[in-house]
Order: sequence, then structure tokens, then C-alpha cells
Amino acid sequence: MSGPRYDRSKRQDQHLIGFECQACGWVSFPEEKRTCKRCGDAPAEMAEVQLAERGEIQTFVVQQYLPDDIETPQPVAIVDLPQEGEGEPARAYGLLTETDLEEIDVGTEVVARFRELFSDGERPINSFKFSVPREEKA
Amino acid sequence: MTDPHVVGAGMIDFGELYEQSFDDLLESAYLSLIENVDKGVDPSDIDAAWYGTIDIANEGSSGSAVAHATGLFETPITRVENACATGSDAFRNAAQAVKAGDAEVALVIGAEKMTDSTEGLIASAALERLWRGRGVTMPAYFGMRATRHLEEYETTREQIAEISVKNHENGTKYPHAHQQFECTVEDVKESPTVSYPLNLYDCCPVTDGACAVLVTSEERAREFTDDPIRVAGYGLASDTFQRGAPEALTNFPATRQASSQAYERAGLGPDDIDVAEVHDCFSITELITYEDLGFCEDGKGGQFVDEGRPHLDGDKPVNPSGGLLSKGHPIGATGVAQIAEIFEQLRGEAGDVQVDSPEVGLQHNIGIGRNATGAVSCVNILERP
Amino acid sequence: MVVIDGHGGYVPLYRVDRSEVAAQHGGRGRGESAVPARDENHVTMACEAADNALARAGVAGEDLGAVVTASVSDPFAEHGIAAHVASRFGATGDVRTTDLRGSRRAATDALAAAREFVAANDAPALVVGVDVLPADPDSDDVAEAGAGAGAIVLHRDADQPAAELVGVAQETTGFVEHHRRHGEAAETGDAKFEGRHGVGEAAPAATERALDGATPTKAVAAAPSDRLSGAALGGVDAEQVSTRDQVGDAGAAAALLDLAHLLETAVTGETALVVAYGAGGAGAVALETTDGVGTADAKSVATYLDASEETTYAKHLEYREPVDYEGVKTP
Repeated sequence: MSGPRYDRSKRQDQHLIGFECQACGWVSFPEEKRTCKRCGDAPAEMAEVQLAERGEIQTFVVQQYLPDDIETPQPVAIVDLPQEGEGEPARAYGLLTETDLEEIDVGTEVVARFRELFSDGERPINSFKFSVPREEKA
Repeated sequence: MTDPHVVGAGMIDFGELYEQSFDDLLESAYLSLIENVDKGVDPSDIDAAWYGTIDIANEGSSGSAVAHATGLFETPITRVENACATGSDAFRNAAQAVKAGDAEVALVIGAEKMTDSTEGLIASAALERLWRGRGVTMPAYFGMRATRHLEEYETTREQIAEISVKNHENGTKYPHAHQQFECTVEDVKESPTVSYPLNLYDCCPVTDGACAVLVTSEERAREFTDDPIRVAGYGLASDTFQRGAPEALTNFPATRQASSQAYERAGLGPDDIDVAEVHDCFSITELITYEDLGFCEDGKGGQFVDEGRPHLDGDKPVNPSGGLLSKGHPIGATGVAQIAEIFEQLRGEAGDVQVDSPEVGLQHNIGIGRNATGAVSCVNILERP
Repeated sequence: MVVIDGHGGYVPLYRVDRSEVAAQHGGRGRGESAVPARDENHVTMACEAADNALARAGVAGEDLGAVVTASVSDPFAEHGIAAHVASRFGATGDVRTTDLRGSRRAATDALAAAREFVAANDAPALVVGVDVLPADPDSDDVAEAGAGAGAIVLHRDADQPAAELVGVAQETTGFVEHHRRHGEAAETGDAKFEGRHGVGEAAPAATERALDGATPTKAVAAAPSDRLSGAALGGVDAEQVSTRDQVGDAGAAAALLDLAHLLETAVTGETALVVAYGAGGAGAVALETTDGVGTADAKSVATYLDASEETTYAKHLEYREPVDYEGVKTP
């Protein structure tokens, strides 16, 4: 293989693009789907939608035990990312960065951050994490 | 069509079985079954087998592992893997084949050697995958439900902890349970944080184990025992929080779907269940399972505990065996062992954890798949014929 | 005419107290240095600054004609930063990408290259400087090793530009004293020698050419040390805008990060000067601020400077390019 295998999903890994089922309105993110996970429509007509950078924590945990290449404590949340236009939000889980337990709750606003998720060999693979907005810390 | 019946069960003591290999576990469970069938069973009677393991120790990826452990080389053996519902789905597959008349005497066997791969589940968090599973462990996935349940309902941290207290107490009365100690709500709350809001005593231990049961047609059941237990219903479904259902943040819609399939097949409802062995991989899992199975209303799982209803002397005893929290969770064996425990309960053979003359028992698993974004649930209902 | 249509900076959240670092070696220090988080790298930091600059400009990534990056600490010999930044913002296809490196002059060289591209092609260009300087516990500048990014969007014209580029100049002398190999601490040589024959011969000449007689009211200067950056502005009577006290040595990013900070705090009608001195000479850029200047918002450099969390000396060493310390990679 001539490049990182993550290339196949690079668009949505680097851009906040969702895929909306035209039958039921469900938004797939980050996977680009041809079937609908909610209504089962297949083949589903999926429309590309732009997602907002800011979303809301639906629930979260803060993990203390993880493999060595992941720093702890590591908060993880389920985040709803609204569409820029009308329609349902996308629901995704995301790792939180530069954020502590004391700063988050159900309903806390978080912003998508472009961060290094891991290394593919020596190459950094970057995609989205979430954090409380930096201005909240100023 | 015939009704499948459970006619025997063989369980080994769960624990850190360093002295036994994966093959030893399978062999021990099989021999325990052979020795425990009331009227005996000749291995040549067994005409099919279903074998549950996620093969975390990487030693038994095909059904031939069971053939080597049992000598049943000429018998069709199917390996089933379905996350934490592996054992219960192996049982469901056997029950279906018997019901269809394709097998008359079916072996169900499940085993897992967790101590050979303690890093196995934690290491899954190191997956180099974008978005999916990276940095997420099992306690995180279940803990997220706890955070939201605590936020959305009147559930308290103490109510969640009490489930662990109850199950550890039950475990001390159940000889096959791995962890034989009692703990208090304070012990749970003060144990080290694993994944906020869950602490060490909210989590099931790392346990090796195996279990086997024998399922036959109604017609053949009495060749093996005078006290067979009927398989009344079963169900299986998957879900992911990504589908957007609000209850998927606090509960497991897969359990609701699987149990409603099982209730419908059995012509029974949650009120008919006299005893249940459910999937308490974490304390919170059992609490939300009360709601998902319909034992109480949504959001009332905490109150259900406060009222003592799931306790050994309650009106809806849950996990009299000590559950996964105390007994342990050797994944492929877990569901099969729960079936064995319900079988014992319905036959009145559960010793110190026997509940008062149960007629109907329910067995449940919920598992995480798809690298922590999805869930699979299996529910089986057994009944005194 | 080429204008600055957008500008943005980025500084990591974590800071190490330089006096604590200096105390490890019995010395003294003041100020802080920015420490990137474990999940930050040159591309992610560059993207943070670029995101802010593009948002200010109201320029969509896919409309960019060129992305030019400047860095003296990119750990990769082949991999680059510019194309990764371009792709993140959808600037793919017929887009020129350029990775400038090897000297802190890369900052002003990037502005010069982008200016020429914009003038010739009438498409906006993104300039980003990003650096994470290595920290060697055995070196005097261990406490100063900083991190940050700065980005500028150049356009031929704009509705409300922050500034107009009025002069770009350089002075190449070939003088190199401060130098560094990958994985090693910098060799800094004799400060007086470099002050006289390095910065002293390069910076004033470049500055004079860029200003062409104008008198700046504000200036930024980037050079390998605090002392040399002061010397780079020798003879210029202007207020120096600098983030160095909070960010530390941000390499080639310093000039662009400081320029973003300058443009957020300046008023209309000021003359501003950017000087970058490094291996081989100096570059200088002169600007006239216009109506779009002075836009401080939630994503301004001031916010990044104010928002900070103390971190440890150990993490200061860990989250940078490893250097050999007595033959062993540090940390």
C-alpha cells in the first residue's frame, strides 16, 4: 500500500461532513454509508451535509486505565454535532483533549479539534477530537 | 416442530485457573456435564454441538477445539462468536436446531481463558482506528450509560453500588463463583476509579471458566432426566447509540428488542419471570437491564434496588449466582453458565442461592461489538414444563 | 496591491515556568514557554492557526491558490506540512504548496513568496509558520524552547483588509553562526560576534529597504534568541510586539504569530515592520494597517496567551523532538 490506509476515509476524517438519509433524516458520521442505520433504507439516498464545529456532550466517562500510548486520565464523550443547516445532528463518540473531569457535564459545549489520533508507523494520523473551547480557559 | 428442553448442565468452578489450559477447560466442562446428566448420556447420543468462545486466548478458533476436548470428531460442531452474548447465542442456535427437528440431542459448550489475555480487552483501546474504538475500553462504554442515567433520572451512586454489594453477597453462597467476598456500598465507592463514574468494585473480574449444557427434543428429554426444563423463548438483536434513540444513551435498546422477541415466543411477559441471570459486567449494566427487561419502568432501576426486589429474598431475584460481578465473566462460558444456573433454579437444585419455587427463569447478555459503537443482546427464557 | 485579509495564531495550552526549568541547573529564568500536548504536531498546530486566519478572512479553503509554510523544526525530511494543511482545508487540485525551512528567514521568505504568487495569480494564498523547538536538558536554551503557529491570508484585494503589504526586502549575507542538526541542541557560538557580523549586518539593511523611508510605529522581530531579536530591531524606534515571554522561542513561527498578535492590537493607519533573522541573513516586510485591523475576538492570540495550564519540566522535554543527551535519546 502506498499511503496510510486511513486515506480511504480522509475526507470525513479531516472535514466535518455528514451523510443524511433522505428517507428518515438520520445523519451518518463519520462513515460514508449506502445503507441507513436507523430506517434500514437500502440503497439509501444519502445527501452530504456540513456539520458544525461546536456540539454538545450527551454523556461521558473519564478513563484511568488505557494502553501506554494513550495518556490518562482520558475523557471520552458521546457528542451531538448539529448540521450547519436544518436537520438532525450527527451523534458520534469522540476523545476529549485538554479537558478535565471538572470542566464537563452532560450538556457541556465542546468544539472539534484537529489532533493527532495515533501514529501509523512514524507518520502522525490526524483527525478530530473535542475539547471545551479555549476561550473558556482564558 | 418440538419444544427444546435442557436436560443437563455441567459447570466448573470459575476463577484464575492458571493450572488449566483452554483445552482443559473445555474437557472439564464436558466431563462435568456427562457426569451430571441424571440418567447419563452416551457421547454417541450427541448429534450436534454449538461451541461459544471469542477465542481471546487464540487457542480455539474452530469447532475442532471441542472435537479434540470431547472426542466428538464425527459430530457437526459450530463455533459461535457474538461478543458477550457468545455463550447465550450458542445456546439459542442449539435450541433452534432442536426445535426445527434437525438435531435431537445437542451439546452447548462455552469456554474462555481470560487470564492468558488480560491485556486483550484493554489493548482493543489501542486500535489504530479513526473514530471507532480508539481510546475506549469496556468500562468506558458502559460507564457512559451510568453518567447519563445519573444525570437524567433520580438514580444515585449508592443504588448502583448496591448491585455490586448484592451480587458479591450472593457469590459467597454460590460455590462456582470466582470472587468469594462481601463488600459494602462504601467499599465500592472508595475503590479505585477505573473509568469515572465506575470504580473497581463496579467491574467484573478477569476470570477463566467453561460450562456445558445438553439440549434435547421434548420427545427425547426423558431419556436423560425426569425433570427437564423447557426452552420457552429466545431473542437476539443489535443496536448502536449512533442510531440516535434517546434511550440508547441511558439503556440498551438491543436488550429491549431481544427480550420482546423472547417474551413473544414464550407467550410470557416480565411479570411472569421468577428468577433471572442477567449481564452485570458492570454494576450499572444490571440496573439498566431491570428497565430494559421490563422489570420496572424506565429510570426506576435505582428504586427497584432500594426496594430490595432483585435481592435473593426479593420478589424478582436477579443474579442469585453472584452474577458476572462475583462469579466472573469468561466470555464464551458466561451465557452457558447462566443457562445452567437457571436450569438449577427451576429444578430447585440451587442450594444456598435457591429462590422460592420459581416456574420461569430468564437469561440475558449484552455485548459490545463494532469497536464500542454497537451492542448485541441475547435473551433466553426457560420454564418448568 | 497585496493585502492581509486574515490573520490568526495558535499557542498550545500548556506552559512550563522557565524559572523552574532553570532551577534544575541552578540558574534563573523568567517567563513561560509553551508546551504542545502529546496529541499535537506541526500539522495540527498549523491547522489551528490557519483555521483562525481563514475564518477572519472569510476565505474558503477550496478557493486558496497557494499554501506556503515555514518551519525550522519539522521532524520529517520528507513529508512536509504545506500539503497536509492544504488538504485539511480542502485546497486540493491546482494549488501550489511550498515548504520553507532551514532558517528563521523562512517566515519572511514565505510572505514574500506568497505575495508574488497572489500578485501574479489573483488567488488568495495562505502562509503558515509552525514550530516546536527541541529542548535539550544539557543546553542553556532548554527553558526557552517554545511552540506556536501563526497564519496570514494574502489576497490581491479584500473588503476589509487588516493591512497592505507595502515593502518586502531581504539581505543575504551568508553568515551562519546559530545552527542546529535534527536531534541535537543548537550551536549558538559567540553572541557578540553574531550580534555584530550576523544580525548587525543583515537586519538593518533589509529593514531599510522594506520601509523605504517610512517610520514604523509597531514591529515584530524573530531571531534565535531574545538578545538577537532585540538586535534585529536595532535603530528602529517602534513598539515591539512579542509573545516570547509566554510562548518561548517559536522558531520561524514567531514572526507570524507575533504579526497576528500585532494586527489584532494595532489601529488603522499604522506602519508596521516584520523582521526575521536567521541562518544566511534577514528578511523584512513593511505593512500599512487598514480598516480591518484590530479585530480581537474569542480566537485571538490574546485568548491563547491568557488560556494556559502549568505543566511539568518532564512534559516540556517529552513532547518535543527527542534530542540525544550523552548518547541517549531524551526523554
